[in-house]
Amino acid sequence: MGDNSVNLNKKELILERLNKRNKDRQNYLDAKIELRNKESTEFEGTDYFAQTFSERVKDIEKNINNVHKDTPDLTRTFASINNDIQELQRYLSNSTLFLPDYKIKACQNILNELTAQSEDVRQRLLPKKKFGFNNKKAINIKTNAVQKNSNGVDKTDFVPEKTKFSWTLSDRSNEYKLLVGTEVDRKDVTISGLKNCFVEIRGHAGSVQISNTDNCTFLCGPISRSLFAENCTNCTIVAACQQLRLHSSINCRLYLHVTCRAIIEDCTKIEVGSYNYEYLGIDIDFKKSGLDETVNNYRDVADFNWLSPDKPSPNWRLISELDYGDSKANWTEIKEQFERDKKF
Amino acid sequence: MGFLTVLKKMKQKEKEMRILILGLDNAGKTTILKRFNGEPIDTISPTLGFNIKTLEHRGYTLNMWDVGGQKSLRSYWRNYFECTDGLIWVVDSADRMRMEACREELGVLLEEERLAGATLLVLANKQDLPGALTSQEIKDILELDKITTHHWSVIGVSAVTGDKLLNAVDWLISDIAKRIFTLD
Ligand SMILES: Nc1nc2c(ncn2[C@@H]2O[C@H](COP(=O)(O)OP(=O)(O)OP(=O)(O)O)[C@@H](O)[C@H]2O)c(=O)[nH]1
Ligand SMILES: [Mg+2]
Repeated sequence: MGDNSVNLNKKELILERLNKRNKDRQNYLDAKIELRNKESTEFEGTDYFAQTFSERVKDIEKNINNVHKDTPDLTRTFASINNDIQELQRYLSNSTLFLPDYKIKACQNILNELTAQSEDVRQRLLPKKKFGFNNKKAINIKTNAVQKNSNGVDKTDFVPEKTKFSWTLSDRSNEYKLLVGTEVDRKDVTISGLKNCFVEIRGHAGSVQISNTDNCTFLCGPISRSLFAENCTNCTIVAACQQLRLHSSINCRLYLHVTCRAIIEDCTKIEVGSYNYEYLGIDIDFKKSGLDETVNNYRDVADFNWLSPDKPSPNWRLISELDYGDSKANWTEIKEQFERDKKF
Repeated sequence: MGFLTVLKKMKQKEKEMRILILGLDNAGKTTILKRFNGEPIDTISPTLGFNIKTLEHRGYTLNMWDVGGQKSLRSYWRNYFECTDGLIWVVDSADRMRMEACREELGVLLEEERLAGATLLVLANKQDLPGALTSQEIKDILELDKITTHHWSVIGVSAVTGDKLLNAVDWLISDIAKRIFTLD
């Protein structure tokens, strides 16, 4: 504006330019100030959270540490500590919108840690208190009502009555059993209630479940996904899989190829070695299972009852190099021995 | 409390939903979360703690919490109840041994006051396995018809093939949205 007004005198022109420059500078400053303000409020948002959060954590920790066996009214004290933890949990849960995932995760870990600490101290100082799993007694499961149907698959009745579960193998003893081909490939192989049995599973199963078995040997080809085993005693399990979970089992040997991780929970006397099962065509089954043959994490078993990072779990051990002869176990020979023993 | 109210408002404006994924171990929770988020599913180990994933979906910000389901971790579940808009209960439909445990654990959750307002989505997972129970059978076993306290739905899915997973989550989101964001 006014740039082409040649008739303006020099003074006015200069004044106008000065004004414009001043205005520009003012605008620039305003923008900068605004930006800085915005940055600092944003900063203060997360800062404020971090500070409030850590202060409250310190308070709660102090309260937990201050509890002693002669603190008056322990029950009330723990209730109040738990209240504080919950309050802080609510604060975190309500703040997730402006916190990055890693920050949420870190804070949640701190909260879990506080819960565990307070629970720890409570259990030490107060007699055991049961939590509300009180509807457990209302169950009447009818297990082991076994009937065999025409195609030889075992059926077991469970609650509720109308649903029938079929198991691949159930309730057998002193048997050798070979599962092959279409019985196995992509299927969920399920085994329950076996005693003194020797089972070979040749093929690429989708998943395998084993429960309530005693003194059995299971040789499994590559399983695409997971192997889940529960309540096994004196058993040997040889398997390749993505994940393995072993629960409530005692005195078992595992020879594993596990591409992610094996975990145990409520187990003792577990020995772990490297996968050593072979049969004609196993390489094809490996390919079809999708398992990575080059990755085997069998040495890295996680024990959910032993979360101390610096001491190894007493519940499992690697089959030592000394036993290496055994870990190279010749399964054909062991199977033949099993057949011979069975005859007596 | 004033500060929390402000945050609550902000949450609604930004259309944030907090979704909690629970279920027994081996049910496939982590696999479902990763599959839904388009990540590889072949490198998943059993969860020792929990995972969080914030993702955008259909104009909403989903804050997804996947918590480990091993027995020894279940006592921690209650730490995650606060502010939950949707609960995804994942079931391994091929797990014959533990349907009873599955029903019980879900029952305990549904009595939980802090989950009272949440929509429940039951995923009958692993439908790719031939021995898997159907979503109808899962509904009967878990006695879902008895639930009167929560909006719920049960859908058969497979985290491995991805089948029906998107539909299922969309149902959950639309049910939550109807409840929370009705006035826009
Ligand atoms: N066949 C099949 N396998 C699945 C499916 N979903 C998950 N799995 C497998 O089941 C196993 C357990 O899956 P995860 O996602 O680790 O289970 P989770 O529920 O997170 O278990 P926790 O972390 O211990 O609570 C893995 O081996 C998965 O590959 C599915 O839809 N079909
Ligand atoms: Mg997991």
